Amino acid sequence: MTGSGWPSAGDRGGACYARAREGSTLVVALLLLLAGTALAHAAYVLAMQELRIARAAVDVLQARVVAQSLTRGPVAMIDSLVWRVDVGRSAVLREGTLARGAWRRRVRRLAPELWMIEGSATSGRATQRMGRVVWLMDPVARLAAARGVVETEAPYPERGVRTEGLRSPPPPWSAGRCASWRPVIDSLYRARALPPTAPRGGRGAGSGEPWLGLLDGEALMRRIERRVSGSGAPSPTERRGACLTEDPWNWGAPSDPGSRCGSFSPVVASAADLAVTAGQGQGVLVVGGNLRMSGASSYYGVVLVSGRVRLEHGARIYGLVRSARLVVEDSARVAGSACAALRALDGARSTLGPSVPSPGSGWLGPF
Amino acid sequence: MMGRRGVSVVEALLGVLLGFLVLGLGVALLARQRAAVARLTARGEALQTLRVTRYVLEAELRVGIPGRDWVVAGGDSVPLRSFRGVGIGCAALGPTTVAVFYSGIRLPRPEKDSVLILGADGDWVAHGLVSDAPAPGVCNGTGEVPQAWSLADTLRDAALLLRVFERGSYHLADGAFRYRRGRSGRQPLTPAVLDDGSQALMGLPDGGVALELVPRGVGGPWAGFRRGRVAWGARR
Repeated sequence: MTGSGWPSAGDRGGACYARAREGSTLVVALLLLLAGTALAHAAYVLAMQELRIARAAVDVLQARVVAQSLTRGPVAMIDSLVWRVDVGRSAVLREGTLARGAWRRRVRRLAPELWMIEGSATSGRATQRMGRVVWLMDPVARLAAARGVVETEAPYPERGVRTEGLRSPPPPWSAGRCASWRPVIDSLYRARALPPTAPRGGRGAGSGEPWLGLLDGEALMRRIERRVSGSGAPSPTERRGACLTEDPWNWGAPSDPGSRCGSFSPVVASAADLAVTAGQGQGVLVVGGNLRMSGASSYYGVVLVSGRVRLEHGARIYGLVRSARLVVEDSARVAGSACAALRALDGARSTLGPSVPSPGSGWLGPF
Repeated sequence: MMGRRGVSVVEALLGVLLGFLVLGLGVALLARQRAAVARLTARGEALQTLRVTRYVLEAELRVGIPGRDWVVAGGDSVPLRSFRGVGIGCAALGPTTVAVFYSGIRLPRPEKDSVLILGADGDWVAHGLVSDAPAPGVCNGTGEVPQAWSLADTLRDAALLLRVFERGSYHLADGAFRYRRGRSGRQPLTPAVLDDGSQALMGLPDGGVALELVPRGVGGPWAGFRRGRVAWGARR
């Protein structure tokens, strides 16, 4: 110790004190740095976690939106697959890539007329699949579901309904006009005959509405743009050497298959009572009331009527009839024709489809 | 000597004063930091609650049909069929048994699950699920092993699609978004950060659902987040 009482730099204790002060500063500084580093690291980890969560949420959302849009998008492509995909099989319609993933759209045929559209998308690590059930009218399945040439709510005694020509082309059609449908017709009716009349079955029974498969009257009317009302005489109309399909009373020319309107087979609707006083037509006729045909008029195809069908004065229907009641006068006739019905339904697929959400199915998921 | 002692007292006092000042600043800083952390946590939890509620409700309700699979009850709950997966029927193994290729977010559990089955006529019919077991050797050719599902009732039609679901309900209760499976208790899916008196689930005429959530004590910045449409009916 010196006289001043303060330790001098040369003292042993003073040296220790100085060293201790220097050492603690360094340690404290290091500890502070370490703590700061730990805090910064923790903040970085938390931020990265938040970023990953946010990115994952975005990936899931993106994948889900894409998958959903794939099942919602145009389903017209199914139409071209109808004859190629067997029941129980599936087919990939389209596939592609996203910025950070891929997508695929496929269809599975669950039943002749029921399909599942499946969209799957991957974005980052997130994969989402969505499905949807749709109904697509298949002419063969519709014919196979028929219980009789005429199906009515009230019992009908078969008078005026013929089934002899069910497997043959209706007059004046040649055999060639039905050649492509021949194997189907033979397979359907080789073992069993279609009765002339039967009580109306399926979903439409007792509803008082025209039905076709899963399509009720409202759905049918909503899809059919060609409308007629009141009374009229359908006849084929040509202009400048072409069939004038815009004319609502042009229902094709079934009696002259070789003409320009010979293959024209429209879907026609009337929201109320309809009277066909003469003429000819083919296709699918939907009437939200009563239908009266007279004056030697003829119709080839499928007739769906919510009320009564009355045929008089030699009127003819070749194909299938679905109505609440049927009245056929002596000179008139309903002649069952599988070929006329198949051709009409086949021509109606683009109008009545190409797909209808299956009632009650909504979205399918999760997969 | 005297001067140095006086300086020491002043230095000591100054040091103590500075110490108190630093301490005070530290305490104030700590308090503000804690408040900031609490506020950030509350906002984070509120955001998480809003996100989870929207996400879960949207995912659950979108795959159901309003009125058939779910309804809005009492403005604060949604009883529903909570779908867990989809199976594709490949063969009927008996009047009550069907072979199924299944995929979903979890395996079926017969003790709590039922099945909604699509028949060839386009109708969906609900059946109880009795048991499930692997069915090797059935529906060959796909490379997958189907499951044999035994159902409580006889199948009246072909089983084309089978949707597995459990009965449950979502609730806005006790400050949180909760799920109740069957008759068990309501389990929270989010932190309890919601204002009890201000939550609302509203059924819309077109089958959609409007959702209003008000995080407790979070305030204005969340006004834009708290209300929205989470499911669609007619728009589908």
